[in-house]
Amino acid sequence: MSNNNLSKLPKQISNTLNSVNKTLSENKNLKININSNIILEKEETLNLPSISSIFNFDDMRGASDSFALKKRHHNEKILNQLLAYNSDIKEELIFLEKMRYELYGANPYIGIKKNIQIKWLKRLKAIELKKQTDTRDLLFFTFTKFFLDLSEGLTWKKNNKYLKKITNKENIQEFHELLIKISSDLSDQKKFSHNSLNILRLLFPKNSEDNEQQDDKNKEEGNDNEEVKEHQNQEESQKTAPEEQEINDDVHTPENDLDNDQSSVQGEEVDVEITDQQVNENYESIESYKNLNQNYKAATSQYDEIIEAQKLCDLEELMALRKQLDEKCDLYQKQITRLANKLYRKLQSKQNRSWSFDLEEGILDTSKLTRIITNSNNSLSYKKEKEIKFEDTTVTLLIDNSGSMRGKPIMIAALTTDMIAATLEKCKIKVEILGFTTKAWKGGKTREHWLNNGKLKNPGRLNDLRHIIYKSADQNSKKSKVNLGLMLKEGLLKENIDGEALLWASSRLAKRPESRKILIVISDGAPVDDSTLSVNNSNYLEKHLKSTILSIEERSNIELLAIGIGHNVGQYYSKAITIHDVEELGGIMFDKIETLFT
Amino acid sequence: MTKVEALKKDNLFETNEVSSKELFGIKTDIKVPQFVNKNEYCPLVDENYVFDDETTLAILLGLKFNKRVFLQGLHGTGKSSHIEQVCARLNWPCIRINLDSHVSRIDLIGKDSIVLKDNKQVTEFQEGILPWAFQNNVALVFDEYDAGRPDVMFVIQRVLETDGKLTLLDQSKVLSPHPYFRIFATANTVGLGDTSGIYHGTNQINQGQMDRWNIIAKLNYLEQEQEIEIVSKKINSNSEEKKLIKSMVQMANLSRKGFEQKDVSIVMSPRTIIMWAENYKILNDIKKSLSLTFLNKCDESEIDIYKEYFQRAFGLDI
Repeated sequence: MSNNNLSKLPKQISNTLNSVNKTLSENKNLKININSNIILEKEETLNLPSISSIFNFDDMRGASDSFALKKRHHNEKILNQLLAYNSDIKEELIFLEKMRYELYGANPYIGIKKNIQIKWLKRLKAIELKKQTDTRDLLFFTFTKFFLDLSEGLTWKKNNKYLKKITNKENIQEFHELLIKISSDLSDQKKFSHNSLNILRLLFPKNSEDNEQQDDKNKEEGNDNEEVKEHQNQEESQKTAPEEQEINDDVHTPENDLDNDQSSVQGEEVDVEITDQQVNENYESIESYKNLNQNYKAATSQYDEIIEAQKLCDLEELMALRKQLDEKCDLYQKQITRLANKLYRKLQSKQNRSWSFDLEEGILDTSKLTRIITNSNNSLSYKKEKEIKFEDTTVTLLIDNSGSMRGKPIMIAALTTDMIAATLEKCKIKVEILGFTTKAWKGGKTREHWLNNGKLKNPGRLNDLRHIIYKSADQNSKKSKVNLGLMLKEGLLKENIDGEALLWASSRLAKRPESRKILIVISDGAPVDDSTLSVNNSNYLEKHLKSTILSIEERSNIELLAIGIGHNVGQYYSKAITIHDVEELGGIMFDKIETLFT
Repeated sequence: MTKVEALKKDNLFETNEVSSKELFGIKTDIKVPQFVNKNEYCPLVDENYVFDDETTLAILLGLKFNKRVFLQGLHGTGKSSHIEQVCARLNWPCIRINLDSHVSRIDLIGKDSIVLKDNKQVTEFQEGILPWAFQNNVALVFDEYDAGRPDVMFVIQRVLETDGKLTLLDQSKVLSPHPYFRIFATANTVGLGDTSGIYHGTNQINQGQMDRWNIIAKLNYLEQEQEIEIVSKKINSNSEEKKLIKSMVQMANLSRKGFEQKDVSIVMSPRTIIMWAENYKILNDIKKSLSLTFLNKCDESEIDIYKEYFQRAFGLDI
């Protein structure tokens, strides 16, 4: 095992192993989680414990390879058919089948074989160390040893000592014959299971003859009706698969349950679409919103500020914050770099480089020089490489800088937007990064102003806005990189008044000369400002947000897209995505941007 | 007497009928013409070359029945070398042209140039490669067909039709094709643009143009056994090296599947494996030769995955 694997984080290991797994099994849907305390194979997910003194990276490889081989070479139906009538030796049958697909799948690959062998050796040791062993342990031991030798190309002779141990004089002959048979049937699960059943029956005879008849019948016919039963059995049988660590997989620890919940939530990146009915309602209410839009006002806007990030914080601190950001999200950054590179390649491949010929100026077109010599009336001909105008686009990323984003969400948002800006810049697409929050928690100077001026009724928005420019469209992303550190500054993130921020961002975007304008909003909640809401209707800010969105979607050429972190933004925006885990943000954003440009 | 008959008289274009099964070791047996005499444009025969059944058949059909054959395949699968080797064995002159975006119309058709005649400078029309090949028994191969400039591609369009005549406007001449003139093209995409994101610089091909190709053959990656055989023959491996080559091919196959599943973005082509095997022969160090041949050009963030593939195939950690 190489040392550098030790230093890696679980997520990174699981990503790598998962990639290999998907490849080996040729099944794209497999997942690996490193978070449980036992090895748990559940449909398409493999849960692994993290690396420890008893479970090292080699074990991890073994478990993950075994899972991949199972998905590739194992047919659950055949197994369940067998189990239905042989429930007394269920574990043994599952065990033998596992040995089969492991050996069969691993055989062609030296490395996989090695990983599986390590796994088997560990099992042998574990059984040897046991103080009390029963017949089942003996069986596991013998077969593990048998398959281990088989994987090295050795078949047991009749006088093999392990063989003698498990059999008696009467059945040793038959047992040996069957062993030879199963070792030649590795590729055929049906034949193998038939013979392995026979072998097991030598050791664990069946009680009643009745059962046996049924059993034979089942083998011969393979009735369709049984499939229903099989499915019921399926999950159970998977759980009881023996593992080298001798851990009972049936245990449902709270942790396991939690993990499963999480993964199911992760799978549900719901694209929220507004139904027709909703749209109609929206249309009907446009008018009323318009009015409301006029009603919406600020008590005073003299204390609002639009400020560049570097003016809010001195450069030294910014650099320290940026460093902090990079350190804390080291792993995430690696992941996202991969996405960024992929996007870059995709975008690059869409660009066609070409030359224009027969120009009055540019690079001399040497292939046409003969023209002038043949006829001096011909003028010199020049060529020029056509400038790539990629889509002629500006993308504005508007990030909610409210208090609820503090911690991981804001860090991930910062890194993702930074990476997107850098990637798109390479493809000559302009990117603007903006943020919005308020200057104070409790209304700030605007509220003071209102108090001093006689507390008029319906004062409107009652807080000092703070709109931050992290990166303007014309700024180089290398220069603005450090600005994003600001998001980590203590006490920066406060309230969020989305409506006005959206207006601001879209008005900036509208002034851009590029013909295509895209505005992506990242937010984690409805607009909130306690100060404003305490003196206005409780949906005052929300209504303004809705009307703003409608006016942008209806009346401007800006493409508006929203990403909600743990918050359903579909109720406001017509193009919206809701994610539940902030770590998905990178994947979603790159995905969306790719579809926007390709 | 037609032109061909006249030429046949000179023994220049005398052909034998040979069996494709015997000559190329492929399953299908058809009789194909083989020129008796070689000329300077015939490619050299690579004795160890392993022919892929389908691709070889497509090329042979093209040669025998005068069909336009378009070969599509991922990089490094041996599209062009297939055509070359088939031609080499049939003593068929074969010329490869790289259709990069700087190849222009006059390069193909020809241009006026200055020559000395009786100590005087005179301009004379010099035929480009197309009119010349058009009038000779040449198999013309356009490599990287999808990288060509759209306007240039229309020049080729005329000769794509089997009995199409080529009109040279500059010279007011109409040329008829030589009966043994053939056209092939190779490309990484099928002319629908790059969908995988790894072939930068490819264009979509006009469908009117694509329509004129009689046979479109695909040559993607080969069977594992076949690939092992190709690589081992190429580097003259002994049995010990053959085991390593098997692992190399396994690793390459893993990387290809990984690419299909979008886990990695660079695939190991057969060419990569051959280079790896060659470098191994020089360095005698399997890990180092892999780094030098392949890993160093991979995306930093994906190297871990390749390393795991390597472990699976070789049982060694890198």
